[in-house]
Amino acid sequence: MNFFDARRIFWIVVIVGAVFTIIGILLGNPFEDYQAGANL
Amino acid sequence: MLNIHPFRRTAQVFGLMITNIYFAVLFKCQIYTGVFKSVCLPFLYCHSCPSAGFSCPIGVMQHYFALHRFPFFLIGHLMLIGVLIGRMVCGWVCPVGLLQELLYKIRSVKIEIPKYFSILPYIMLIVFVVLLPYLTTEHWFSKLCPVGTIVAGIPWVLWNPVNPSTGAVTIEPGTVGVLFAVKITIMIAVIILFIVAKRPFCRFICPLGLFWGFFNKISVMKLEVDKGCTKCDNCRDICPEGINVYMDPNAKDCVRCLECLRCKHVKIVNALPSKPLK
Repeated sequence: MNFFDARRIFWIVVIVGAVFTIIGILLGNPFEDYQAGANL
Repeated sequence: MLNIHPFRRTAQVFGLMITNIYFAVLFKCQIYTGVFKSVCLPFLYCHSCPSAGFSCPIGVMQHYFALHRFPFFLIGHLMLIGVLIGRMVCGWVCPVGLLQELLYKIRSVKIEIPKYFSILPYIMLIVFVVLLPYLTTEHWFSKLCPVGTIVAGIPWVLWNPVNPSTGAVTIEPGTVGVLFAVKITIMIAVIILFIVAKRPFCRFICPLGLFWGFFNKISVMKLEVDKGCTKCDNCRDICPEGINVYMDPNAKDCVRCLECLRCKHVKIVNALPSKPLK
């Protein structure tokens, strides 16, 4: 199985996406940051 | 044979309506800053638009980089959507996609934009969304974004209401200058492209489309062409992106509009990826 096997990449993306989402939530209320972004 | 077009057009109109949900701007004369503005849409649409009810992910992303922070939540949840449906939001709910498809119906000379211009979204994403905002703390993509000019810049300049809370006009005299002229020039060029080429914004400008495009090959929802395909190229004519579906049914430019399902040889496959990436 080579490294660029699509199934492996799929699970890497799922895990990284989930970790990023959790880190984002743990870093604070993401929606407040979005609010700041929206009021440019 | 499945004609998905009426459903998709309905979904696109719904996307346009839900994006521009803030009707109270007519009385308040300011952009909406309430709780729903805390939610990022999964497609590009300027959150400075007078009627915008939600935020633009690219606007928020560059804002984070301008603050020297990484948008973990934004990138993370977009990745999770991407691995499920790939680039489907581009084809089904993005108002810019709808605008491009409608303008392409205008009878005019039609052109094929050379493939090598597909480097442009990389430049947009890396230079204008990440690097320049990080280095200068300015929102460079928003400054030049043609969608922002169409849905936010022009409406605000033309309307220019008196803000009831401050008593001052929204756009102070003299603030519309060279940058606005540059934005208008870019916008006119892009609108001409919308008329003569198939969804050029999605293929050659949109940094979010580039981001979504990475997921087409690994997402749960995929397209497959069976061995009975006669390579008649009807799929290419139907495709709003002009893709030869039988050559690469999961191309990064594919917006998953599913119009090509009109051909009996094209099928949706919902399964975890199993083949090596090409």
